[in-house]
Amino acid sequence: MKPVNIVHLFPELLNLYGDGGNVMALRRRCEWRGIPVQVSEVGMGDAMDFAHADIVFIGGGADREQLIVKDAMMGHKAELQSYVADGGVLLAVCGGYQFLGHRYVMGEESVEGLGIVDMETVRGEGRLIGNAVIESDIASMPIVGFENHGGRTTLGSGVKPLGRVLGATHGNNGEDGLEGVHQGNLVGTYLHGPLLPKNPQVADYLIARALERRGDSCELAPLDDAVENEANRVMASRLGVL
Amino acid sequence: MGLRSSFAASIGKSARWAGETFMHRSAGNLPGVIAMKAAPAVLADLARSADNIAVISGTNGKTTTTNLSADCLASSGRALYCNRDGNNLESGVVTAFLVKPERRAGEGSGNAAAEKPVSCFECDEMYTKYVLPRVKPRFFVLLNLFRDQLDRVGEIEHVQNTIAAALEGSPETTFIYNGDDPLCASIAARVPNRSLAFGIACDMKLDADRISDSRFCQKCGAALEYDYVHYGQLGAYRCPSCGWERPELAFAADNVRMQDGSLVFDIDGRTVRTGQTGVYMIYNTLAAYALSMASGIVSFEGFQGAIDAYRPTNGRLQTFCLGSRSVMTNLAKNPTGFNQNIRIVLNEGGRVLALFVNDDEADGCDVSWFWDIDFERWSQIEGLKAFVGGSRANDMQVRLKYAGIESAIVETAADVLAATNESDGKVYVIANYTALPPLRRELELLEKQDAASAVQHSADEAVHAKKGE
Repeated sequence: MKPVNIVHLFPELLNLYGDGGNVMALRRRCEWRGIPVQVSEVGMGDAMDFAHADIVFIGGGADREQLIVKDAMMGHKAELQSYVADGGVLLAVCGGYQFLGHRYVMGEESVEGLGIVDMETVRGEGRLIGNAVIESDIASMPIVGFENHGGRTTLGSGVKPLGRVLGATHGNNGEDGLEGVHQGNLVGTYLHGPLLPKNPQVADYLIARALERRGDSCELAPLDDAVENEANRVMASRLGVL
Repeated sequence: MGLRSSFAASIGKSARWAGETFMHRSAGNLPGVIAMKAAPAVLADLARSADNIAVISGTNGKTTTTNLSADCLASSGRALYCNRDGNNLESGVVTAFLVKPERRAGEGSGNAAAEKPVSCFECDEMYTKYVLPRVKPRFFVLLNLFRDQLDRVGEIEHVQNTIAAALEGSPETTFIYNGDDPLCASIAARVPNRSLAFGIACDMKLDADRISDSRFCQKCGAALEYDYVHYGQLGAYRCPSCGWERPELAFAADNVRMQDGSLVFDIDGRTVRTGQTGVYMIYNTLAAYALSMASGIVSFEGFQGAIDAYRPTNGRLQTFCLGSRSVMTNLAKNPTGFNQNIRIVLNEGGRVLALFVNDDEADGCDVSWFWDIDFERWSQIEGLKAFVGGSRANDMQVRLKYAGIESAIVETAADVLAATNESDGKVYVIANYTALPPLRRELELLEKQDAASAVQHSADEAVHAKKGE
């Protein structure tokens, strides 16, 4: 079996909040099941080959790093668009999530996005910060994490969110109760940094879709997730859910 | 001092006296908070009563370096104001001025005793913009800038802007900074203040950390090239694109080596002993050296004597002896701090690790940074026994699992001692900001009880021996 190829975009720049934890979770959960796996890190100036990608991950960066990355990312707009259109699995968190839309408006300035998802982000007053919990149809357990964003994202009509906010979670914009995006095999979310370790069902969802797309069996062997599930439960109950 | 400030200072002092007398505890920030309520300008007025030598800031090492520097300055025999306990907001600095200055018998004697007291303060990075323009110290020391509590202080660029504004508000202050840190050096390049860089001028042959804050040019954004990296983004860097590079080091530590179990380095033709094994202690000691020499009031002997005599009591690199067991505690509140602790454990061959992490406001509520720590380096330790505690114990347990380390959840240091034994060796307790003090208190208590029972035990033995006669 050909290794599952996880492509991590710009890990040296988009790594603001432990984003690498997502790649570790995907890699380990493949390894623990005996599924061959490899991680390809794509840095600034490296060639990008999405033809051999099974899962693409884009993390978040500080403003300065996001601006450095923006041009490199735009240079591959067409390849990324066709990868996603072809059912390629993609996870983007926080700043990486914002890149997916048409544009990010910061006051007078408007930064062009990848245009992969019909959505737009506008920088608002103050930041939306805190522990977060949402419900989503890709996981039977709540999805827990942490959000910290100045941008307010609005999905186009008919675009499916990743889920609905629970408790005091802000979500995409603090107003419409929606969080993230889930479009085909693409998942975007403001739950930043290490989203997957404490949400093993989301990690397995992405691995299963990647295997399915390759025509391999997407039946994943069960793992002992007691530690992960307990961490998820502790946070969800702290936030008044469960 | 204006009438309003005198009044404010006196009610602040009353609050401190009341706190210490009736509540039997250090008053912390409160006297300063009260004095500032009464007169917002009180700090500028209080500061005129001292020769303000230094304000010290940076992400990691503030409290330790401030205490080291204070000991060095005190060796001159001058009286000293210092917020030694780490109360590092403006109110903490005001409070330090309301306490009687400390004084030691020093080499300076005679004249020194008659001179104005000196001051040396730790300051939170984000509060430098209030403290620096009011205290107007002769030197501002910046140790490093690492990502820390991002949900509270914002991104590092914001911290840099705040510090630059603070320096601009105190233009006579000389900026002493870590030249090995591009994030500090870029501040020096943009402020009008006179500046002096310190750094480590030799390759210590250490593996680079997996995640570092910015190994990118602060001027043009290109990836920096390093002759060597010490840790994080600290090292000898140069931009291949625009030529920006590590500045010339006014204080350069060279020939770093282990000697008699601790790190030593050469500087200005002399050898400095740090007395510690953590690489970051080279920077803390070097900063204290730079400040001591630049101050003009500390001799080299006074400096080295103060470093040799330094014994932490705040849980940082503190060792507790409980009978045949030995426990070391240390603070780590961000990835760089944890990575340094990981190296210390590996250097010393440690096998029992207990990590306590809280997410109170002072710690930062976001614990995503666990995933930036290189715990994988510990996964090869044979016979490793790992424990996790604190309000985010579950998150740490998940992180360790993905690094290949199995761990058990515990409540206290005593739980760790109960689950291990003497043959497992020294216990390393690493805790973040609010998790550390209760552990330190617990271990101090255990140490006392242990000493008491040892006395009792030997008394019992003496009685027993007598009976046997």
